[in-house]
Order: sequence, then C-alpha cells, then structure tokens
Amino acid sequence: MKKVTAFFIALVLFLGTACGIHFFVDKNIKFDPHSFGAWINQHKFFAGDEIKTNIDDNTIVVLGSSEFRHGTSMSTHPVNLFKNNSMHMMMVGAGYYQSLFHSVELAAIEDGIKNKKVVLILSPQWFKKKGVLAPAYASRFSEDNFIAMLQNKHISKETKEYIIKRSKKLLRGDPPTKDRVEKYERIFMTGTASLSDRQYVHFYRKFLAEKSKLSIYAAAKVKGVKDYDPSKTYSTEEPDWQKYAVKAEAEGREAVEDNPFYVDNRIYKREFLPELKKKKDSAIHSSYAKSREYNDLRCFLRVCQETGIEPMLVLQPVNGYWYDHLGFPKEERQIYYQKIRDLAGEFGVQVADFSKEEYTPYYFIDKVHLGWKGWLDVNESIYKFATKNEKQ
Amino acid sequence: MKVFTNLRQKMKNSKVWAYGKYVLLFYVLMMVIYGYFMMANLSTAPKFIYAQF
Repeated sequence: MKKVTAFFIALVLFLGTACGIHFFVDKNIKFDPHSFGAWINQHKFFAGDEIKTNIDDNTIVVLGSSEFRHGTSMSTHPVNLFKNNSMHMMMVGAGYYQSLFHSVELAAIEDGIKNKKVVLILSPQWFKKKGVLAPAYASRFSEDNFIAMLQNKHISKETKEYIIKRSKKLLRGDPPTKDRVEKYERIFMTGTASLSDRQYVHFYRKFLAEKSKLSIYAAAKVKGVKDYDPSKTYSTEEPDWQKYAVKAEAEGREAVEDNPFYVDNRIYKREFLPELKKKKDSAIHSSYAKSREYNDLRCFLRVCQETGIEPMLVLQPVNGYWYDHLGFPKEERQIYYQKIRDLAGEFGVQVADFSKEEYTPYYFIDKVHLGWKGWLDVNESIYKFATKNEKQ
Repeated sequence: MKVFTNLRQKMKNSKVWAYGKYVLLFYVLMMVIYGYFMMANLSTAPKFIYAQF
C-alpha cells in the first residue's frame, strides 16, 4: 500500500513538472527572427507550429535544400547578408528536401505566413529521373506537418490524394510510418477509420506536438539560437548590392586561387581532384528532362494556388565548368531550364532565372552549391520579391 | 566520515525517508521515461546517407 500511494504522489509531482515544462517552453518558444530563421535543423523543419510562431510581418519563407548549409562563412550567404536587416529569411531545407516535402511543409504553415509569399530554390539535381529518393523522403518525413496538411481546409482533395499516394509509395521502406499514414488517410480522407484509430491519432498528434515543441526548444538552446529581444532594432535599408558584388568578387578570387572550376580551392583539392579522371564524361547520357519531380513541383504550385500564397521559383544554374567535365549535354540543361519556365508560366508564377550564369566565375562554391556571386544574385531577387509590395 | 555515517543512520530510522525514497524513485523513473520520449529520435525510417552529386 505504501508503494502504491508513493506511486500516485510521484505521478502528481511528475504531472506538475510536465505541465510546468510545457508552459515554460510555450512562453519561450519565440526566438530572435534572424537567428531562428537561419538555423538549419531538422527539428525546426518538422515543427510547423513553432515555425509559424517565429514568422513575423518581415519574414519571407524560403524553401530549398543543401545550399543553406554550404558556404556560411561567405559574406553574401543569407546567414550573414541579412544578419542586421529587417527582412528575415525563414530557411527550410537541407540535402534532399525537395518539392514534395516542401508541398507538405507549406500546406502545414501557410496560415502563419503573414506576407502570403514563399520562395522555392530549385536545385537541378532534384530533377533526376526518379525525383526524390524513397529513403531520403522517409528520413525527412514529418508526421506532424503531414497531419496539419490533411487538416488544411484550403487544400483540395485531389492535391491531398496526390501527396498521400506519393508519400505511401516513398514510405515503403518504413512500414510503421506508412501504416500510420494509411490511418491518417482513413480518418481525414475516406472517413472509414475505427473509433480506436481516431483515438490513437488524437493522442499521437498531441504527443507529436508536445515532442516537437520540447525538442526544438532544447535543440535551439544547445545550438545557441538567440532569444527573442523585442527591443532589438534592424536596418530597414536595402543592402548595398554593388558593395556586396565587389566583396563577392574579392572573396571568390581569394578562395578559388587558380583552379579551373572557379570553386573553393580547398574543396577542389578535397573533392574534385581525387575523382577528376573517373568523373570525366561520366554523365554523357544524363538528362533532367524527365523526372517525377516535375509533378511534385506541380503539386507544390497547386498548394500555393489553393492557399493564396504567391510563390517565386529560383532557377539555379548548374555549374557549367563541372557539368562540361561530366559531359552532361548542354541541350539537356536548356531543356530543364525551359521546362521550369513553362511550368511557372502555366501557373503564372514569377521565376528568378539565373540559367545564364553557368559560367560566371565565383558563382559556385563547389560542384553544385551557390557561391559568392550566386548567393548574391539569389538574395537580391528574394529581397526584391519580399519587399516589392511595400515599395509600390 | 562521521557526519556521513550519522546522516545514514538518521535516514535509516526516518519514517519520512522510508516513504519518500519510493516517491523519489517513481518520480525519477517517470521523468526518465518522459525525457526519453520527448527527446529521442523515434523515426523508424531506414538510415539515409547524404551523398552529394
């Protein structure tokens, strides 16, 4: 009997502690907008509610992939360029975060986007024949965001069905998650779920929400994401693009030294040189003309359309010097660029088209990621897109 | 050393401690389970190794 009462007293104490933690984290989940926006972390991407909490009137949501993580020491990387600017980027994405993930993410957070705008930075490498790889999608699948997407009344049945069908296919290597997705489908789409399924999902959603809140708070503290300071002031001036262009040229020249690919020389020595011979003409038959990714991108644009979000697609070029070395046909690259332009035209969407910059020196830091001048162009286009209505 | 042995003896004879140690044990146990579920990566997805193009 003594142990039973001890257990219940401990339970009361535990519930009190858990509630205390919940309210404390809830009150402190808002971080410095630049610091949080520039923080690249899976906990953040998975936590749609916390992303919404950290979006303000000056935040532009920028969805992309691995470019966010590379070259963060360059002065033109958005982490540095917008450090003291009143426009904040909410960056979402890392390697293999592609159109389908971003469709779900956008559907989950769209009601928190105050300026109703979003930027999607397209990587040409997404458009390989199979599109997003199944193990990559599975490891980047957020159930919390997926449920939020299904609950979003603005998203049409057809769009949801497409996302569910693709997700189920890509989650074949993760049966427990796939089973839960099927459960969500029965609850939110077909209405054929049993009472126990509904109860289970109700509880599981609450658990996921609590888990994501706590884990994002803990991870942000560990990674040194700065606290929100309402008294902090930011510059409302447009960045001096000319000054940054000079800086980009100088930093690029210093880092590149004399390698023929105009990439960071340390990366050239570490990643290019060891496989230079092996990679020569290895992509002669490659193409980005046919890919499942196009339909995923179409789905993303449909989500934008249905939710009233204005998107801008950033069409990154390929690194011309490296792709020539691979033997990747120039005509195929042009087909890819044109297909993106056509798709954007079909939806009446703005494209920041940098396809002519394949051979611009210092445009890339490595084989595929934006470098000094590349980021500068992309940042300028995003800034102009984010602030265009304010100026008109 | 004497202080420690005295304290140990006191605790042994204490009725509050005899009861409190169970409360503490259950509480710590619950907090550990809670911490695990809140912080652990519970993803069942197969490991995916990032490979650059």
